[in-house]
Amino acid sequence: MTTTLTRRDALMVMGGSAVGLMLSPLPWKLLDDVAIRTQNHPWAVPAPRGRQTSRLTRCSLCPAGCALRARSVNGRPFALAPVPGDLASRGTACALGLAAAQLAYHPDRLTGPVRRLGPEWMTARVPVAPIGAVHLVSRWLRETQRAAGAEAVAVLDGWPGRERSLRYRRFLASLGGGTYVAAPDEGAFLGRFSGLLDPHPGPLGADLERAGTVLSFGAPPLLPRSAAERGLTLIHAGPRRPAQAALADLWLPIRPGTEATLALALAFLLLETPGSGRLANLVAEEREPLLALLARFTPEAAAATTGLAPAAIRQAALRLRAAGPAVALAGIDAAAGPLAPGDEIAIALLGVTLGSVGRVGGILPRAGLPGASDGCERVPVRDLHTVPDGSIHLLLLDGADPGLALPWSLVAPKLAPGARLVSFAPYLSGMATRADLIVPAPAPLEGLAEIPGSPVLAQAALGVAAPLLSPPPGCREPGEFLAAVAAATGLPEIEAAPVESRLRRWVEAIHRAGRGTVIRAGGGEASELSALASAADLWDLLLAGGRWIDASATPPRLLPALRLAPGLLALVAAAAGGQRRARPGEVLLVPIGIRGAVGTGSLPPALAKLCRESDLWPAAGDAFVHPDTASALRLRDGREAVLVTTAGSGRARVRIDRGAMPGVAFVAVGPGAAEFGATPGAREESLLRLCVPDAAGIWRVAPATLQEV
Amino acid sequence: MSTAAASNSRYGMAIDLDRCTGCGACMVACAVENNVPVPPPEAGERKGITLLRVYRAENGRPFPEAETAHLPIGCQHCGEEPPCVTVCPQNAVEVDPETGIVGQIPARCLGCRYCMAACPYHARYFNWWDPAWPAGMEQALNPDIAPRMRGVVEKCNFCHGRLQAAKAKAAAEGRSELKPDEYVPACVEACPARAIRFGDLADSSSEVARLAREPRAFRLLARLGTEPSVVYLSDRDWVRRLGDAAGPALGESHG
Amino acid sequence: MSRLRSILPPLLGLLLGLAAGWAAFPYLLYEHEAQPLSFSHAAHAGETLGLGCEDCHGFEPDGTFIGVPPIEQCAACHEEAIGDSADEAILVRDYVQPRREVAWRVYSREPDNAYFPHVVHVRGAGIACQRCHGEHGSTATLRPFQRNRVSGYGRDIWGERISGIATSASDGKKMSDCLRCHATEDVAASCQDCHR
Repeated sequence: MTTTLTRRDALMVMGGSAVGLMLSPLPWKLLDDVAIRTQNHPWAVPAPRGRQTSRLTRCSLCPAGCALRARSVNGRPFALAPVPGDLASRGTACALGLAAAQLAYHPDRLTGPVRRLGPEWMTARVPVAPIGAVHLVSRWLRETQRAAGAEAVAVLDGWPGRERSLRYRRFLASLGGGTYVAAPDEGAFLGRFSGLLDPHPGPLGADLERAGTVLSFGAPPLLPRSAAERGLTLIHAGPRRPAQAALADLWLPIRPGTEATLALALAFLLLETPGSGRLANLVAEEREPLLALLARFTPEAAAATTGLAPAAIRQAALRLRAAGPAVALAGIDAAAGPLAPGDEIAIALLGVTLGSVGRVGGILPRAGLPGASDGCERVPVRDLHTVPDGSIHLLLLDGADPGLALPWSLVAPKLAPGARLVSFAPYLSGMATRADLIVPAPAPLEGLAEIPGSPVLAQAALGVAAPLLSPPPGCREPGEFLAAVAAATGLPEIEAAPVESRLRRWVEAIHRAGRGTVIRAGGGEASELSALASAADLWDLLLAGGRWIDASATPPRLLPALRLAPGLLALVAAAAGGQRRARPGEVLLVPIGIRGAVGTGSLPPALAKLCRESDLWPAAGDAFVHPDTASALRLRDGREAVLVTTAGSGRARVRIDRGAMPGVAFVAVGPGAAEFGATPGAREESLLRLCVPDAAGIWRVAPATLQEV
Repeated sequence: MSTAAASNSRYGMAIDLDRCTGCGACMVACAVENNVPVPPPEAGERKGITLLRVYRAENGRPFPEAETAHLPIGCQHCGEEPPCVTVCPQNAVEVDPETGIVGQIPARCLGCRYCMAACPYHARYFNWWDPAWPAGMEQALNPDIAPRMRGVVEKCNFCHGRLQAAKAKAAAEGRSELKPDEYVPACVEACPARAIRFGDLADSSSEVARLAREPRAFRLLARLGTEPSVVYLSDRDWVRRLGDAAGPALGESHG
Repeated sequence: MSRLRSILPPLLGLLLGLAAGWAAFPYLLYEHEAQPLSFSHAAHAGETLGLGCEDCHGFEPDGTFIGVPPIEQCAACHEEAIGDSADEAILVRDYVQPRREVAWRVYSREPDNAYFPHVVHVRGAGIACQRCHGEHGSTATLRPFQRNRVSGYGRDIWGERISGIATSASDGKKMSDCLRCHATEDVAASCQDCHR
């Protein structure tokens, strides 16, 4: 029997095997496995596997220093959560702090020194070896000293009062006297207040722990949680109801720039009460001109300027007298900056008439951190606007971002042509993009950082944020970098000790002083500092997320009185009397932004996502205007418009906001919705550049035109 | 995970709208906990994943009486026939009878987005893109939550990973019951104003159960009969009316 | 005869198909990977040393399962060679001294979206390790890791047999295997308890 194999046979075999395969697991399992494989594609990012640990620490991004619990996997922190039991922060932390674990991975992050060779950072940027950076800065230092002297070397410190700030001042002292400039900070008002009092009481602080009512102008202070929970009455005066003051008991909507008017009107009302002879005790001299000035600011007169009804002003005065010791504070707005000097003096006067100076719950002398300021007397702290124009040849920018805006237009005029800028920021953003050389400091969570308490409070405080990650080898603490520069330049030796040993010395000084209480991270009762046996115990407690809080300040034996020089009175009169109305067709431009997100630093990715996907935080370029103002200027919601001031022009997006004050355009200066991931050169400059600082360095309000494109 | 012995819980939230300041800490904590990355720039406002989203509403009054309220809205964990469970062709949504949590299982989801249309609260989000993190950050993600690939829907699940961790901790300590504050979702933990409270609605002595009984309490779109596990609290009438969404649309001018 | 002749090709094909699917496929599907070191569970957990499973594969205080122990665990005893096997010498020289982790292949590695809490089963329900891991703890050497070439997971997950039907109580760690035990023990598990 012959068997020829035909095509039919082959087909039959194939058919049979197909059936056989179907009856076997092969096709089904293969399908399954292929599906699984496609879900594990090469670019899929799995969650990390490894040991999870958790530790307590404190947030170092702003003076509030909230307690945080850091959860880490394989030693890398991935989440920060507030700590409910902490006596200082009581379970609070803001969106910025909760996303801080991501800061080390920001695309703008620099891992080593870089130098710019051309106008654009993206096109001409080269990495520099750390030792090369030292020699470069040393060379620039020598050139500057030869050409223009030591005063032409300046340090701009965004967050004065830290250990790093001391290092800057000592570095400048070793040069024979450089210029140390502090960016405007919250403590400036009380510093000025102190200068107006006689006898001079030294540094002052507001005893908010024991105050009954706080009246804030400009921006509310960072309230201690205990005060907020106790039921402190918060009254805020300003053109916009800020987010924090959403919980304020009373909002006084006043036109921008009329703070002095309101303060004087309130002082007038307070003095009208029986016993107004008190002014004699409160003011050292020049009482008659002062009384004459105050008499001009009846509630009716003030109403015309501020836009607040006379009845509301009277009611505010009643509230100030009603609940407990009252304090009046001039704050610094995150985007709009400080108030004018005239405003601040008027508010100081109000504070004096409130009777809060030198009393418990009011303005008290503030003991600074023990050991925190020795050796820096040669280099005084200066304000930016007092520096002569064109006098800085080498500017060192400390890159720490306390979350407050600083317009470049305040800094630029001070630079001489060809001036060199060095920045210590960890990120290529904000002012660091203006620098010629960036020597990045460790990012937040990477370096040991101290958290001095708010300079507004009468009780000093200190916390320490332990490093949770190791910084890249190219990142260096600015203090140590400058010590290396000093050595390379042949300057008298300044201390090169690492941050930890210097902070330990501060802690030792605090322990020696023996004052205050300590709270442990995570809860429990506060205990006396004296109960700790050694400074090392205090250090360990702080490193584990605890906090030291100074003892309650005591009133001075002699109540100081206000001494107003004639020039100052004129300043107050000018501030209070000046008209701040916009001309027809114009608006008053007031910059707004939330602290920590005003375009100075880099936002953590989760926060950039929040800004992009919700309108909770105002997006850069949004201009909020009242419907009436919009219709007067023929602006429509959502449209592009051009904003023009004396400083230039920029694009903005109109947003109709029924809650906005008429005649004012509230312009958000950061962060940009597309900020995250955009290259530095491609980012639009913040609209803060349109705010022109005046001679006193104030950029709070500017007349502007807003026209639809 | 015993059965008949444990009485069933019904986890829910009580969100106090008079305390919420719109700070966004809850949204950030949620994104960090659930490994939600920053989407590409083309995502805009609508395609990003915000498992908990805070909306802003205004009272419509002019300056200076204008007030805003902020509403954090995530999955409401409907107690009565959740619409998303009914429509899912894949059975990718499941109500856990022991906890009352409506669970979205990305492993089963095929991305038809029917549930997104069915949800009356717009609380469901679609992964339009594969997740991408900045270099290095993929090692600093929450190891308890698996990142989702593109093409699947996700939503708030009351940080179920934290419930699992709490149960593991209880088992390690030899307990079978959870302590009251042992399991809190990330948003509850993060809120600085303590506006969001969490607990067992079925336990009449718990804080959220007590708050749910208050006259200030209302639910969103209650007329739909979904019986959400999330109650909102407010003294302000205009805020309470928002829950019904029967008034003029938010943001519309009055003339 | 012709009927036999006409049945033969399809029958042959059928047999070929079945053989390919049932015999050749599992042979080809799995790739054998040897473990980096030959570790003897018997030597460590046997009568001489008497270590229990949890002495190396234990739990953290918060309930996290340590899993395959890190090199620190081995270093606790093997800082220097205490035996005379070649593998131990390699362990000490290449791993313990430079504190380098051994790249063990984990037989029961589950996908990322599946969550198996060991502590709830071991401490909570009191299940013995042998129930799911068989006699792995008494082996004298580690069997090679059989890796599915297509999906990447181990053979232990699907099960010994290509059909996926379990040979014993400890064979297979698919969802159906877990659910079988849950059904027998009458323990509820919602989807979210295991998937995240």
